[in-house]
Amino acid sequence: MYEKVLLQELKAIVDIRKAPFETVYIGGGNPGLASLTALTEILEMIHSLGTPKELSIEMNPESLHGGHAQLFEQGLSRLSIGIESLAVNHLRTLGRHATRETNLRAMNLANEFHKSYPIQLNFDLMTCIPGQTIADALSDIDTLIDLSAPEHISLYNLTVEEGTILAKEVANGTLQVIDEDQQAEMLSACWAHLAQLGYNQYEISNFSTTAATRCKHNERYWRLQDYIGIGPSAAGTIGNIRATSDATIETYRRAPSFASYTLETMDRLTLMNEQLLMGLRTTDGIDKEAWLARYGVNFDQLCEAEIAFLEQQDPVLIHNTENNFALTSSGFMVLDAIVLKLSQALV
Amino acid sequence: MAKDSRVIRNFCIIAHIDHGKSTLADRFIDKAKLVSTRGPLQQQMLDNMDIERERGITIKSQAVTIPYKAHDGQVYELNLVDTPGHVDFSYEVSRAISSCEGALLLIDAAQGVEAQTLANMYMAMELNLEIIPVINKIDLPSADIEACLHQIDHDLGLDTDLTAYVSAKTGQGIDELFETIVRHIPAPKGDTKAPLRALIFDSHYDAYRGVIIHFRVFDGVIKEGQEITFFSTDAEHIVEEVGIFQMGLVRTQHLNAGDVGYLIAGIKTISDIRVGDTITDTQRPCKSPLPGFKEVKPVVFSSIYPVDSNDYEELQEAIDRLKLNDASLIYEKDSSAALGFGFRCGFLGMLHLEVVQERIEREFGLSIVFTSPSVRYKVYMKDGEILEIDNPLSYPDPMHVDYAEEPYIQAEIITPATYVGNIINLCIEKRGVQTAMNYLDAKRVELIYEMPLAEVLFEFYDRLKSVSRGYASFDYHVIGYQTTDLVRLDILVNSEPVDALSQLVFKDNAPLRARQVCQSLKNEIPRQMFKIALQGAVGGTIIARETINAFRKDVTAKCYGGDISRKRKLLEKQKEGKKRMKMVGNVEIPQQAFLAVLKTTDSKN
Repeated sequence: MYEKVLLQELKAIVDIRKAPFETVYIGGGNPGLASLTALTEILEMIHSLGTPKELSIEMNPESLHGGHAQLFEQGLSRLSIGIESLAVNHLRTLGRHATRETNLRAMNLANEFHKSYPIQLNFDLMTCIPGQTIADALSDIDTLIDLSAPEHISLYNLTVEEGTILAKEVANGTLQVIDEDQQAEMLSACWAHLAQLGYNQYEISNFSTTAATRCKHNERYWRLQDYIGIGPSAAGTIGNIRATSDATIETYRRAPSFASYTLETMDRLTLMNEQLLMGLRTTDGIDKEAWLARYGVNFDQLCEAEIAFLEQQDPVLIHNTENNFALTSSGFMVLDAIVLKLSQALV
Repeated sequence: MAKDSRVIRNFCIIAHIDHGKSTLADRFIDKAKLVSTRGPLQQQMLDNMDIERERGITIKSQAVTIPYKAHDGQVYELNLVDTPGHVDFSYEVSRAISSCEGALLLIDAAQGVEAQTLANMYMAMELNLEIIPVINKIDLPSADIEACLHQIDHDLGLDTDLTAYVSAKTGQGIDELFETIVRHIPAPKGDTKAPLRALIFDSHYDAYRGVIIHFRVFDGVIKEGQEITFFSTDAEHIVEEVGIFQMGLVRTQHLNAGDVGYLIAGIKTISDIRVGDTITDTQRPCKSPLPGFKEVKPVVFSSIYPVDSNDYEELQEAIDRLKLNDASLIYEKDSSAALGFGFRCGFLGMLHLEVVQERIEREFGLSIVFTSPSVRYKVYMKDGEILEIDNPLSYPDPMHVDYAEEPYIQAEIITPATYVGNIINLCIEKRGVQTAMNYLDAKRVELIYEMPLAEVLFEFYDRLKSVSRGYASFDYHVIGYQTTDLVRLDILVNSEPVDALSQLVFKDNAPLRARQVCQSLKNEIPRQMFKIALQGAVGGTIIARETINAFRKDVTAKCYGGDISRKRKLLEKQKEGKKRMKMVGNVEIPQQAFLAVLKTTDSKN
């Protein structure tokens, strides 16, 4: 039923759309659980408009199987697998079902696909897991690259989100998060290690071997370009309109198509806040010309006092050139504070 | 038409916090059928303020008249005068108690006699009130009535035969208690024909009717149209309305010797009357006022600032409104480099300060910052000038100061003998000098100390409770000024002095206080993009130092299409939160930090 509603929504979009989708990302949760029939149908619909520049799917390692080869036959161009860790105790802490073995099996299978089809591979890794050492984190990176040499790695530092099991365990003391200073060290060590191995950081948590192997789909988000999202709790943005689904998987399957989306019209200030929030995550940073064109104000003038404050800090946090305002590696480490500081200029 | 004063019983309830005083008062009112027909009741009718209800304390005195038909067939008029329950308000308590002929000493059947009740009981004894022990919560499984009776007999030296057994919660025993009140509390004496003598024991402000005085008539008659004079101020007024308290004001047109009630006399502000003052007839005045009047003066001073300086006008309005009902609150304009415009306020004590703080925040929805509370010092200048200073910002250049004096109190502490050692140590630490030590009986000791008021205000009460397991009772009164070694402690954040954090302290206490302030600031100021130095300084000398390191990592790991709205809303919320921060140089200091500094001076060791 869930798949039926999703397909109906996709079909409605395909029916009115003339041009091909530029990029497509089948993700959010674990599409590896979807039936091959449904996935095939999705790919057919997408291709009916023409070939996208990038067509990704993400999966949990335990869900990947040989049958998925068929999807690559159909033009799926990018496979992303949430490996997270290769240490079983860390996987348990994260509440993952996978083991080191399932992860290695998934990586091997992904290698097979990689050899047979013109696809790009991404693996997600997690750092700053309670109990994890810098050596553990670096060793996961090494193993991953040795075995699969992916074009792309996403490396996330663990964030304890409110309302999760993890948060509960931290609150009741059964789990101890790594302290902030050690987290910073671990994260720096991982970033430096990835750079050494030829993976360039182009966003806080994303690394690619070349500019061509960046995730084009995600780059649209960080540039605040239009995107459509369908499915429970999906979000889409076109211009200044944001559509967000309020549905859970349960309610989504019972509701008629497009019944669960709430529309929000965003004003200029909201968009500027989002542009900062997203743009500063990338090494490209804020494109000042594009900013002026979109918001009608000069970025440097708008944030003059805040930029001056940031320039005084040691170590160097920002990299401010003629046409771009971006953060340095040290700046990335305190991104949230910098965004908050700059956003105070936006009133 | 004059009612016989023999049917009047004026009484108050003395109780330890949580022993059920307000619940008992509710039952009295229920039983008297005064309110049973008026729909659902708010619990604890006499405690009008949220804060009072929440803390289980009564801040303002309240009164209610309960008609009761006794077993002898006679209808009696029982006047319950509810009293404040904190040492900050001990003067108000004494005035309310002195309006009564009897007191109910309420004891929780499960807790037994607790020492804080004693101070009020002794006050009642001094005023010759008849005391009826009342054991409450007898319905509790943990009730130990035998033990309570033993304490009443042995520790309090009261007559156990009079003891009433009640459950204020269920209403059990209330009828019997009414009978005991009628039989054992004496009817008021007083001469209706004598010149008017009435005691103001409280007042409140009504937006429509002005000041409403709560009073007890001791001699004579008061009636509408009468010209009256207030003894202490010589102010004259014409009585517009007289009546009694029931579930509101009930007009009776006159009140006689022995009665408790209210009067309205066109008085605009509460500052025009004095609790404890005597009301008399202008044409036929009494010879002398009722005893015990004193002018209540604030002893603790602190400045209040709005967290958002745009809220200054609202703060002014809030304080003006509070003042309408609180004559003991005094204030004047103040300003600080760190906090902008605010008000310097005087309070009766720390609880009074906290109550004002909570009311401003709750009733007026304002976020405010209090500066560290101070007593009022006398500073003697080399040129002979004498300055009275309670605000650290007004402290003169020490070069020109000859010497300073600080207010001293006499503290009366009554404690079970077991804790005498602990309490003596505490008093010594607080610069106390013992002037007497009396064994009241084999087990109880009274200690009299002279000590600086500043030491008592800030953490003494909590410490005393903890070293005596809650059994020591404490009362104090100000006795005058003594020489002290006073310095101004300044707090610097990244070398910038934060004027609002400056404090006047006894020199030997300065290093410890400085460390406490720096530590609590360290705990409350979040890490920022740069290192922050926190320093305590006296003159040019740094006496304490803490460092807040720059944060190393503050980064959201994942942010894709589905996360944008949520992250942006979080950002907007954080931006909103920033408005509640005070900037000192580049350092953002949250409101919480100012409050935490206040706390280091009043509760922590």
